[in-house]
Amino acid sequence: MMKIIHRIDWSRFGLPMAFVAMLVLFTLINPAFFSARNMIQTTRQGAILFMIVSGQTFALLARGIDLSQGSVMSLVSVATISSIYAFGAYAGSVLGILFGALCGLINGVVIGYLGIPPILTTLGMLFIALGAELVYTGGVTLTNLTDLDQGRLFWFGGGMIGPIPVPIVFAVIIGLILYFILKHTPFGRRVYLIGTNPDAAYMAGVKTKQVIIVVYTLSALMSALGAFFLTARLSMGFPHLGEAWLVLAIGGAVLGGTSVLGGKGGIWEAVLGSMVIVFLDNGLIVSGASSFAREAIIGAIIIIACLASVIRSRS
Amino acid sequence: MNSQDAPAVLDNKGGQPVKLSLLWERYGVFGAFVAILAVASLVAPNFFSVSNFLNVLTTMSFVLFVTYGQTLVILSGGMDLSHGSLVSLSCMASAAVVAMGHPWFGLLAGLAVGAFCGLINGTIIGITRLNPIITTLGMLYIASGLALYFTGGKCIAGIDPDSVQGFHFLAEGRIFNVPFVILLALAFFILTHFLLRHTRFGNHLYALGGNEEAAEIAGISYARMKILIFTFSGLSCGIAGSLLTSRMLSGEPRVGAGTFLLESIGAVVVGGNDIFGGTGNVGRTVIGLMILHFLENALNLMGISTFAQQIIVGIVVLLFCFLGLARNK
Repeated sequence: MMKIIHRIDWSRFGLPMAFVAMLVLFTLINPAFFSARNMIQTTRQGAILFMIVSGQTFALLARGIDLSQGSVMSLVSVATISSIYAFGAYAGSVLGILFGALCGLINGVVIGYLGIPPILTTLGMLFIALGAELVYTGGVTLTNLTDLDQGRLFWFGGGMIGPIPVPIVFAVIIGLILYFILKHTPFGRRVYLIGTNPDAAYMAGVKTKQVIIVVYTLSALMSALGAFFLTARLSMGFPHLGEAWLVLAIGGAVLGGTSVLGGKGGIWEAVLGSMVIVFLDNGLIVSGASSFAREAIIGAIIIIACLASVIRSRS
Repeated sequence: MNSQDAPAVLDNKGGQPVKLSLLWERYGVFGAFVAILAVASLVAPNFFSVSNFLNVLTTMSFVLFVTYGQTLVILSGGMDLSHGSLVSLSCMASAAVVAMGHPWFGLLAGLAVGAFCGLINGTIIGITRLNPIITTLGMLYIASGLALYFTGGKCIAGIDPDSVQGFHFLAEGRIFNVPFVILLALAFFILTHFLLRHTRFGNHLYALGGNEEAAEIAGISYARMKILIFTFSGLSCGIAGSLLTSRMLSGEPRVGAGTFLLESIGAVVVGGNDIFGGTGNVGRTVIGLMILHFLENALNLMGISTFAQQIIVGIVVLLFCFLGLARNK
C-alpha cells in the first residue's frame, strides 16, 4: 500500500484526486450537488472562468501578471451592450470584444516598449478601464435591448447546443486552439522561453517585445470573451461585472499548477484550476456557506495551493 | 544600487560642475509637485487656501500610514497587495471593540489585527519563499471576506461620540488648529525614516532590496527580514483602520476597498522610488502621495467626476513610473 502511495506522481494526480474527493464530500453533505442540472450549470460557469484563467495563464507563462482582467471585463460588458444599441447583436458583440482586446494591446505596448513592469502597467489599466466605463455609464446598468437583439445575444450565454450549454462548446473550441498555439507553434515556444529566461530569449533572437504584445492582447481578449458570455447570459451591460473575477482568474491559474515565476504551466492546468474553483464555490453554496465566508475560504485555499506547489517544486 | 540618495550631488567643492541629471534625479519629483501646485492654483477655484490645504492633508494622512508600510515592502524588493482589505478588516475589528465601550482596547484591536495579518503574510513569504504578490493577493481575499463575514456585510454603527472623546480626538481633534492626525502621520514618518536610515534593520532592508542573493550571502536572514517588514506593513494598515474608525465612529467593511491599494503603490512609484527595490526613501513616498492627492483635489474643485479621476490618477502613476525608469537608465 505504501509503495503505491509513493509511486503516484502527486504533482500530476494530486489535484485531480483532490477534485474528485471534493465532489464526493459535497455530494455527501447535500445530494442535490450531484444532480445533472447543478453539474451542467456549474460547468457552464467553469467554462467562462476557464477562458479568463487561460488569458491569465499566458501572462503568467511569460513571467508577467495581468491585474486588469476584472475591469477589462466590466468595460467589455458595457461596450458590448452599447455597441449592440448601434450595430445590432452580432457586429456589436464583435466590437465589444475588440474593445477589450484593445486594452490588452495597450498593456502589451506599454510593457514591451516602455519597459514598465507588468504589475504596474496592468494595475494602472485596472483603474483606467474601470474609470472609463464608469464615466461612460455613470455607474448605471445598461438594459433595454430590442427583443430581436436580446434573443440573439442570449443564445451565446444561455442557449444550448443539444444538451450542452453554448459557452461550454465555445470554451472547448477555444481551449483546443490555445493548446495548439502553446504547444505546437513557434509563438508558444517563445512564450515559454521568455518565461523561463527572458535574457536568454532575447539573446537567442526572440523578438521579446512583439511576443509580449501578443501575450497581453490574448490575455485581454480571453477576459473579453469571458465577459461577453456573462453579458450575453445577463443580456445587460453591468458596470461591476468583473469585480470578483480577477482573484479567481489568478487563483485558478496558480491552483491548476501554472507557476507565477513563469515558464511552467499551460492550458490543461487552466482547465483543472478553473473547474476546482467553480465546483468548490458551488459546493460551498449548496452546503449553505454565506458568500462572505466563501470569499475567505477561497482566498485561503489559493494560498495553501500555492504553498503546496512551492514545497513540491523544492523537494 | 546606492542605498542612500547620492549625498554629494550638490557638494561642489572639487570644482566639478553640478550634473543636471543628478539634480533632476534628486529634486525632479519635488519640482513636479510644485508645478502641479502652481498650475492648480491658477486653474482650480478656491484651491490655494489654508483651509483647503489642511483638508487635503487631513484626508491624505489616513492613507499616509499605509504608504509607509508599502514603502518598506517595495524597498525590500516585494509588494503588498493586501493593503486595502487589511484596512477594512482592522477598521471592523476596532469598531467592534469600541462599540463594546472600550475605546483604547479598540485602538489596540485594530493595530493587532493588522499586524497579525501582516505577520502571517511575512511568515509565509519569509519561510516558504512564496511569491509576495500571490501571498498578499490571497490575503486580500481572506481579509475582505472576513471583514464582510464579521457582520454579514453590515456597518457597525451607533458609537456615542461623547463616551469615546479621547479616542475620537485621535482623528478629529486639533492642536493649535492643526488636525491631530496630521501630527500623528508626521510622527510616524519620522519613526519610519529613522528605522530606514539609522538602524541595522534599515541597512539590511536596503541590502535585501538591492541584491537579495548578496544580502543573504552576507548573512542577512531573509525570513526574519520579511517577517519584520510585512508585519510593519500590516501594522501600518492597522493604524489606518483604527484611525478611520476613530474618524467615522463606525466600522465600514468596504472602507479600504476603493483606491487605497492604488494610492499605496502609486505613491511609492510616483515619488520616484525604485519599483524593484533597493533605492529610495520614505520622504519620496510622501511627496508622491501629495502629488496624487493635490491633483485629485484640484480635479474635484474643477468639477471633474470621481470616475474620471480614476482614469487620470491611473495615467499619472504610469507616467511617473515611466519617467522613473527612464531616470534609472
